[in-house]
Amino acid sequence: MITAPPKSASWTLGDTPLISVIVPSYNHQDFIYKCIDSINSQSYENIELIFIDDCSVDETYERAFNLLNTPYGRRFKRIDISKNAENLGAHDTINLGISRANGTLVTVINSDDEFHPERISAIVAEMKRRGASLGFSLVEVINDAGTTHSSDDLAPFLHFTVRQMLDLNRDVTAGFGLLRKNLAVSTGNIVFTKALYDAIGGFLPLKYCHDWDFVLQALFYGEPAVVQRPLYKYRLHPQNSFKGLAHLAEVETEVVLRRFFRRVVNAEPINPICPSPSHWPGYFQQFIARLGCSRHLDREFGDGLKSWRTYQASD
Amino acid sequence: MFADWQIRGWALSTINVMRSVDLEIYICGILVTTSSTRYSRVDIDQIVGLPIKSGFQISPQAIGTECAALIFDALKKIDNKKQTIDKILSIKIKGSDSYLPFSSRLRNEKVDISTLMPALDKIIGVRVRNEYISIRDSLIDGIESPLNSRADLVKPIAFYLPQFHPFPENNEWWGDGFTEWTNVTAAKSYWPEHYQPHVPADFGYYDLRVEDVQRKQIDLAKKFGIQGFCYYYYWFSGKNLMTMPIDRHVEKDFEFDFCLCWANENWSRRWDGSENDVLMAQRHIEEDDVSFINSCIKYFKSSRYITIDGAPLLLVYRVSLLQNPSETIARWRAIVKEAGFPDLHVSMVESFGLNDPHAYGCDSGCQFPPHGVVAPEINSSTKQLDPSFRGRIYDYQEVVRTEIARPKPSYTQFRCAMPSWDNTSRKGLDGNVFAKSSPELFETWLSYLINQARENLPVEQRFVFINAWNEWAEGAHLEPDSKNGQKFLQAVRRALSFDRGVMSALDLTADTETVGRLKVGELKAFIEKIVNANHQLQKLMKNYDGAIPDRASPFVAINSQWVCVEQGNVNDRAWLDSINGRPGHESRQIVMSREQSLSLRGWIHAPDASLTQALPIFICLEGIEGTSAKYMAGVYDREARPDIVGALNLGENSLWCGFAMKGDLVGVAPGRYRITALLAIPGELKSVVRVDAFIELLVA
Repeated sequence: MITAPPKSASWTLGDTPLISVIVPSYNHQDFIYKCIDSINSQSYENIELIFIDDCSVDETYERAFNLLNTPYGRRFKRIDISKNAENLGAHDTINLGISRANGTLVTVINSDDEFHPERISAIVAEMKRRGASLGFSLVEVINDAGTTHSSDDLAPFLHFTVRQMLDLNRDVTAGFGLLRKNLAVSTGNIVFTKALYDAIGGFLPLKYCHDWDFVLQALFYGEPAVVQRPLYKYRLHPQNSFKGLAHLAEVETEVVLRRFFRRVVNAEPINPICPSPSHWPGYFQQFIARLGCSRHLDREFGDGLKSWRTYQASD
Repeated sequence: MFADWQIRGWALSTINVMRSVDLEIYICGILVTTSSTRYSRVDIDQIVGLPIKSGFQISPQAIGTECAALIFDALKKIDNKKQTIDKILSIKIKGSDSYLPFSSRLRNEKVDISTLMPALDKIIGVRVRNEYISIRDSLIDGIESPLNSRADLVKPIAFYLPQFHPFPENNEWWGDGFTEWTNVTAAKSYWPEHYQPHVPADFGYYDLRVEDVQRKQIDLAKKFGIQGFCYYYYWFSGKNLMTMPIDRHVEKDFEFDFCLCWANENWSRRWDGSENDVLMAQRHIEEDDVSFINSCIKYFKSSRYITIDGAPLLLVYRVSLLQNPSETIARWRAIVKEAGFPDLHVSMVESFGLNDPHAYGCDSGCQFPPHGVVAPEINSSTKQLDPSFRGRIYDYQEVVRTEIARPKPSYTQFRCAMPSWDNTSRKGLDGNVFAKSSPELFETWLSYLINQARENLPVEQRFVFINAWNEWAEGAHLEPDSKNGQKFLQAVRRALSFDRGVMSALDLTADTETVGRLKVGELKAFIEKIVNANHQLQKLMKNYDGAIPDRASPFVAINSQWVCVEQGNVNDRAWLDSINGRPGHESRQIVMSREQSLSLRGWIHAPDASLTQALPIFICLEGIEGTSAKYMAGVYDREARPDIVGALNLGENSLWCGFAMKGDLVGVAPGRYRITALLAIPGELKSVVRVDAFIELLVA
């Protein structure tokens, strides 16, 4: 596997830069304590906490508010706790939370998930080592929410950590693996610089793939730093496997890929090993063909659909 | 009631039974829609004794996609799937706090939530499909390439003809509705390879009165790396023609740079600025030339106007026509400075043999092919040429050759390339044609110009011009046509690329020069070999179309705590049909080096295990003796094996027992390993069933 050469990013000069942990919460009163406690127990010192509740109808907000207003909250450099006036949805809540962040680095945690105590230290260290603007780790799936799942629903989550690790090592770079699917798994599993977030322009209003879009857009700027240890606990909730939502997932997949293709076709990526026609001439096109996505790439190249208006290819 | 997804009921107003009642329908507390009573209900009519419209009826089509998604989520969160109707549905009388009661039959019946989900799902599905394109496009758009703003890049500027819309003068001179398209569509082909007429593709025969056309042109130009338009500015002694698109650019503040080229010729019936058949004349008297520059100031003030060190860049098409060029331009400078600019940069278009900008008081020259190009006429060698053709045919390839070889002039020169050129659509049998043009040749030409701009011009002045964006009647257009599609635009993008820059920089360097110990000639030969090999390999792969297997996925050391291994049945076994291409039954032990990769194809005999495609299988190398190291590789190719299921009388659960995999050994420590398959167990996050292949692997 090829990894990008470290390049100097100015933030890596600081010792332990401030990291803003955004907690967008919604109806997770049973898990919110565990979630916040996992941030509280981070071995990394320099943390500010931005808790933003998206109009929970249960006691999530109150519980968090009360907990953080005890001396327990003093562990954080700053606490910003708020509640949206109306339900905004996940991506907007995250974007709003990040707009209030002071940290050089930013990370998000789903309000029912948990960090491993070494998570931030380990990822930040790896990001610094690689000069990366984005990092993530392996994910451990936990199934203790008390909901029952059919074995079909569970199938995608079996041996999650192992599969994620094998998938990350499958392709010539982690970036190519990320084109197959979102190996970063969840918004909660990525750490990124505020500067990168600003360059990308935030999370798209997508239902399923806003995190995948973000990670792929980030690939343009630099290769991610991956810590191959499970440092994020992802809690399972009932999944739905309905067709209508599958259509939505299909639109979103096209959006994510086309946005990525457009970016790497229109300009040469700053990341010297970013999957792209300019850095992997020929190989990139073959890889995309194998993924079955050439039609999306062709359109971004300007070799799109044939109709009465467009040319008949001579070759 | 919910089964066929109809909500039916009745309501009436006791104050006025004839008035319909407005209702709000809530599902899971979410306002779904509003409705009102509008159907006849015979039973109610009988009670009231009047034919009133008291019935209402709501079908799922009334639920919007957003709503359906919200309800979907809300229903999902309800643990108990059987609920009474009042927990799900409520119908409120609008403007009051009263809710309609349910019939007793409904009240007593429980609704199975899971039966409601598919209908909601369908709503989401249908809407998403119908709105696929608009949803997608609204999300995709808005990607700005970050490199566009890099200051040291060479900026391609395309000449832009703001015609392509009817206006009163043209209607008068040529007939109603006349535009350039009138000529373009009438073009004829005069020999078999002569490409005419040019048929526009993406934008069709557009009309510039439509603002969206200009926006789309700008989007397309930007997408391919063009940094600005140079609009022809038609100003005749105080009379403006065709400035509408330029004015709109300024007014709407399109995010795209532009500059002006004063088309300071007479407007003649022959499109060549001649003295005959003048339709609109230039006087070029002192007063005119002063008011000309005054008319430009409002454009210069646009934040999109192209400047060089703050000085607006103005091109003059035929500077020699000015009465006293140097003095005029000096006066212009004074006026422009008075307007608050540090200076004016006047670039002399190198038309009609003009080649000394300083003689006219200009700051630079700007090439304008085909003016000034050198190329042999090839009429005599053009096969099956219409004998009545009186124009001239030139060889485009020769133009490219001589333009590349053109020496650097002693003054600042902006170079210019043309994608193709052919004005037979205007002049018929008297037209001139540059034949044999192609996107590839244009790319070669343009990349040289870009490279030269990088070498010869200071950062602020790194412009390369292209003639033209849309001179359709001169056959010179980057805009897509039906023959070449967007290929000329792609040529611009490639010409701007880093790789192209390196290649043309190398090409400009003599073979005998050295880079370290290397001769440039050697370097060129080496690159050529790689490029050629890559090209051939791609062709080969294209022909095999998917028959080439994926690269091997590596065996990766896996923390033993991540998997709980359970023993399967005694008779379970992974049978290998082939190991590295040889029959699997031939060996009990294989020896391989770490540079090799292990390919296995086989099937798993585990009658009690569930071998569906959704459940993963791993191939594992277990260290025998000493080391307990464990390496795993994923199996990405699964095969249905009805042959085996049939022969061994296995259950349906064994259908997908076949597999194929290729594992890279590069990360595996030398040693002896047992090859096993690990099968995921339904519903178990971390447990696997271990199935031995009874084959040993020695990694050397």
